[in-house]
Amino acid sequence: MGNNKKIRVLVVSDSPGHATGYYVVGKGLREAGIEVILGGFQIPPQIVESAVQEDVDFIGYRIMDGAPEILVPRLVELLKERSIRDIQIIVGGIIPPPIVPTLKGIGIEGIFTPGTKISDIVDYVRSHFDAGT
Amino acid sequence: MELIDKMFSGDQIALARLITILENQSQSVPEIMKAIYPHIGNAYLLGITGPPGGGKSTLVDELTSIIRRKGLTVGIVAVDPTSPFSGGALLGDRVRMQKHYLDDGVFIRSMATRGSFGGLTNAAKCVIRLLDAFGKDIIIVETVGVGQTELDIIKAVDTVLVVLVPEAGDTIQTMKAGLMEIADIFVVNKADREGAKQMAGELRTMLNDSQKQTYWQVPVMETQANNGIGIDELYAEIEHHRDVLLQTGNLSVRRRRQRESELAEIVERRIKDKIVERIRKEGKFSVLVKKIADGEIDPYSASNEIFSDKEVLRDCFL
Repeated sequence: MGNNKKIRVLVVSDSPGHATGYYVVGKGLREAGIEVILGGFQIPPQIVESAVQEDVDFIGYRIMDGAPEILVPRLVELLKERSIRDIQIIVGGIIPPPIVPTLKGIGIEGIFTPGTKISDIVDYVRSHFDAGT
Repeated sequence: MELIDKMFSGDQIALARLITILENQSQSVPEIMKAIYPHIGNAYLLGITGPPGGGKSTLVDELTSIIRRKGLTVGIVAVDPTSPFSGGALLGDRVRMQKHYLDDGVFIRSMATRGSFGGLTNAAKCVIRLLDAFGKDIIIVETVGVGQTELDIIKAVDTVLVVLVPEAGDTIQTMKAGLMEIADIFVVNKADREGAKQMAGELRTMLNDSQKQTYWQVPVMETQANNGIGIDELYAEIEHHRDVLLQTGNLSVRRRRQRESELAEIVERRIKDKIVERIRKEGKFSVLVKKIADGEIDPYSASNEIFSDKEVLRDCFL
């Protein structure tokens, strides 16, 4: 038996459409041996419930049309309310440069904007994965 | 175990963590199963299988709405295949069940089939028990019914729905896939499409010819899951099957048979694990693997060599 912990990532988006990046990332993670749960278009309270039920290690949040400076802090806040500390958030999509410091300020380190290589995301996920939990 | 107490108090985070532990087949599985076993047997288990793209997840979503309207709670285990090449998986069933994301009476968990040795079959069965012990009234297990693993999981439920679509080919394909024997209820979904009526008719004829039980004639239901058509009738048929199983005493027969194979599987797996572990410890194993790779010996003769070693055999069976 032993421990066969797999990395689990929930990928969600802030709006329907513009889904190419979302699928490319999902497929890339799968090819790296990661279990990807497709969550589709969800608002932060739904994302929290999905992440809890699926017991994921990461939430990959694709933001194209929305306001990352509102959505991401809201998600962080909701996770805190549920006392969830071990699910990490990764953000991807259109993140205007002035907003990046705001996100970093609330603890979001993985921010991937257009031009990112899949291998960078995979490396990030692997190096930040806590196998202990 | 603190997690188990928390789970019994209704904590969803604890429930999800325990599922992960069961899924990873970690050392504490026996401890968890021992603690929850006195609390199982109250949930009704529904299995849904069939070829990919048949609308199974949408059907689960619709059935869940009906069950919730009746005031019952639902646990959903959605199984999708692991890539045999990378070990990763894309689990996409959840997307079709969005209506229930904020309903705390519905708990959805996606599982990947992962590795070999019937690992998932066992893990999924444990997860079903856990959701049962947690207090869910109805547990729905959804699998892509094309492989042995998926069929094995489906055999562990009370009522099995096989979902087909007209595009899935003729009924001969269904017979080939081994889906004929396991269905308690057939569902022809996407019934508005061409060929659906014909498919349902062919299935009915075939089922009339080969009735498997005296107490139950397998019905063929026509649905359009994405339009919500035929779902109430389907749910009524599921309840009917449950009532028939209960009245004829066949529910307990079925469950006893499941417990029996569960025990046999656990014993078999433990023996297998023990033997494989013992053999791998032997230096001879890697030597033989190299010989096979170099073409010096075939795997059957190599296994004979392993089994001619009395010491190894004694360790394995004592």
